[in-house]
Amino acid sequence: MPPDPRDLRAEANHLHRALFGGDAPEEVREQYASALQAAPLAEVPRCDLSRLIARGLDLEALELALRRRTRVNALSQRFQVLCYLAEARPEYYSRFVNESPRFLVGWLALGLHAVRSVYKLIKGRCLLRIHDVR
Amino acid sequence: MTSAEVIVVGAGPSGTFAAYQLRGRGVLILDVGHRPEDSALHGNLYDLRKDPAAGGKLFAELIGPNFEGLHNVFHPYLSPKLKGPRMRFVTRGAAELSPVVSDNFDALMSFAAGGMANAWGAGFYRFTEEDLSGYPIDPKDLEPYYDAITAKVGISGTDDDLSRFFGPAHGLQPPVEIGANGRAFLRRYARRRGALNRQGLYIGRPRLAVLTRDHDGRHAYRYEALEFFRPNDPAVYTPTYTLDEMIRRGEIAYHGGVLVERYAEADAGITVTARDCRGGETVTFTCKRLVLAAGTLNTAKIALKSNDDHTTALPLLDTNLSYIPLVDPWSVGGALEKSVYSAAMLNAVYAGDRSPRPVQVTLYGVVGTLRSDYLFDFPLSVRGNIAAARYLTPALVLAQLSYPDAPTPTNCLRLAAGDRLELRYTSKPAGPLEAHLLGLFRQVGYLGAPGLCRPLTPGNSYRYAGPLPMKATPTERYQTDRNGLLFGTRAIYVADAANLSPLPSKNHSFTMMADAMRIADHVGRTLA
Repeated sequence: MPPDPRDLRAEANHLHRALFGGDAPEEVREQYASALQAAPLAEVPRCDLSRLIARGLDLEALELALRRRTRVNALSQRFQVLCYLAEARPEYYSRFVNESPRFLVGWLALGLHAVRSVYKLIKGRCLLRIHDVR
Repeated sequence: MTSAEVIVVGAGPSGTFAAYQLRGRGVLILDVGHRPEDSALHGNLYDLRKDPAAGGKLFAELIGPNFEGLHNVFHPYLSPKLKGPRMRFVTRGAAELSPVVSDNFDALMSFAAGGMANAWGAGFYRFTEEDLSGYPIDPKDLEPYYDAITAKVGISGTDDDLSRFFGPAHGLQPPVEIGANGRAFLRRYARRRGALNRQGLYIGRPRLAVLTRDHDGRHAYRYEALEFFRPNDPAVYTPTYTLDEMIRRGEIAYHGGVLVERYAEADAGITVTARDCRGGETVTFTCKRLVLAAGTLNTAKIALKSNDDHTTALPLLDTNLSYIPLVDPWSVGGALEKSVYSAAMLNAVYAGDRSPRPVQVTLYGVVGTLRSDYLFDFPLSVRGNIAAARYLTPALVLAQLSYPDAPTPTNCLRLAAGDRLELRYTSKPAGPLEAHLLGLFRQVGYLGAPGLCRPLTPGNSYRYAGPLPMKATPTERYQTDRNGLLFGTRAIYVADAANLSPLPSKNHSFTMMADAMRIADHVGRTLA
C-alpha cells in the first residue's frame, strides 16, 4: 500500500529538523511526499522506518549507523531526497556553497564534524540495537 | 518507398560526419532523432541558485517535475550528465527501442539527434601510431580528416607535455580557463616534471570541443557551469549543429522518427527496413550505398538482424572507468569559483611500467553538479557531509581513469530472443594502478585513499567499440575492410566505433568522426 501523503509530509519535517534544525517549508514537504510516494525505496532496513522516524529518535545517528552497515538503505535514501530538494532552493544555498575563503573555519568544521560523527555513529549503533533495526 | 544514393543510419558524431563528407550527393539520414526541450536556465548556475526569484524554476530545471534529478537515489548509477531533467532526452526511449539483457553491463544508448554527443565531455583526441596498432590504417590516413574537423568544430587546447599522446596541436583555440585548483595542479607538476615523467606521469591541458573564441556562428564559452543541466550550449560542440546546418542548406535529406531494423542487399540495390516510432508501421527505403553509423551496439544489432543471426557472439569493447577522489589540503575552505569550466580541467597520462599501454586520466573539478550527487560518498554524518561538501568542494579533484580494451572471448554481444541484445562483459579488477597513481598525485600535493577509489560498472563510459572490427584482410561476415565495407557485401559500410578495435584509453569520439569521413570519402569515390 502506498504511504499516506500526510505521513510523508510529517516525515519530511522530522528529517528536516534533524538536518537543518527547523520545520521544512510547505513546498519541500509537498515535494518530498510526491517524490517518495512512488519511489522504489531500498528494502533495508526491514522494520517500519516511518514509525521510528515519527518517534523522534536521533535520525542522523540512526542514518550514519545504517549507512555504515548497508550503503543503500531506505533512511539514507530519504535523507538524500531531502538534501536534493533543499539544495535546489535559494534559501539553502549558503548551507551547501562557501563563497569566501575560510581555510581555518573549513578545517575546524571538518574536525568538529569528524568527532561529532564518531559520537553519532556510536549512538546510532546503540539505537539500532535498542530498536532492533535490521 | 523513398530512394537515395546513400543512406546513412544514425545522426550521432559518426553519422553526421559521414553525411557531412557526402553532402550534396543524394544523402538521406535515417534517425529516431529525439530533441531537447528548451531550458529556462540563463546565466550562471550559482547566481541562479541563490536568486530568490529563481526558486520555482530551479526545481523544474535541477530536480524536474518527475524527479528525474533523483534518479541515482533509487536506481542504478547514471552519469550526472545524463540524469538532469533537460538531459533525459539523450537516453529517452532506449529501453523500448533497443532492449538489452545483461547482468554486468550498464548499456547506455541514445536515440537523440546528435546521439550521446549531447552529453559528452567533448574530449577530442587524435589516435597516435601506438593507438592504431592492430588497425589496417595509420595516423596519416586520418590526419586530413582530423584537421578538417578541427577547423569545422573548433577545438581548444594547447601544445604541452601531452602532445606526444594527443597528437599535433595545430589549429587549436586557446585552452579553457581553469580554476585555482587546476592551476595549482599544473604549477606543482611543473616543479616536479622531471621526476614525475621518469615515473611515467605526464600532465597537461585537455583538448576539448569547447570554443574559447567565437567560431562558425557560435559564441565562445561563457563559464556558466550549466553543462549538467542545460543541453546544447552553442560553445560546446554537438553534431546536431552540423546536422541542422546541412538540413537548413538542403545539402542532405533527413528522415526522423524511424528506427532502422535491417537491410537487404540485391542486384538492384539495397532495401532498408525501418519502424516508424510513432505508429509502429514498417517503412522501407532504397539506396545504392548504405552507411551504418547507428552507434556501436545498434550498428551491430542491425548487422545481426539483417542476417537473422541469433547465434554469433560478436566482440564487445568498453573503456572501463574508475574514479579516485583527491583533495588538496591547502584549498580546504576555499571560496567557490563559479566561473570556471565545470567539466574536464586537466588530463594526465600514465605511461609507466605498471601498465602495458598508456592510461589516460581526466581530472575533473566538481563545480558543475549538485553537492547532493556525491554527498553520501563522504564518510561523516549527514550534517557533517553537508559541511564537507561546502568546505571540501573547492579542494576536490576527481581523477577518472580510462582503461584501454581489447577483444576477449568472454566480452561479447549477441542477438537474443525477442531481438534483444544480450551483453556479457567481465570487467578487469581495478586497484593496483589506482594505488600507484595515488602515490604520484601525492607528489603534487593531492591526497587520496585507496579505499575511496571506485570502479564504475562496465558500460558507464558509453565508449563502446569493436563488434565489427576493421581488418586489412577480412575473412568473416562481421568484419570490415579498411574502407569500412562489411565482408561479403557490395555496398554496406560501417562507419562508427563498431569497426574500431582495439580501443586505446583515450576517448574515441574524434577518431570515430574522422574515420567516418574517411570511409564516406571512399563511398563517394565508388559513387563517382
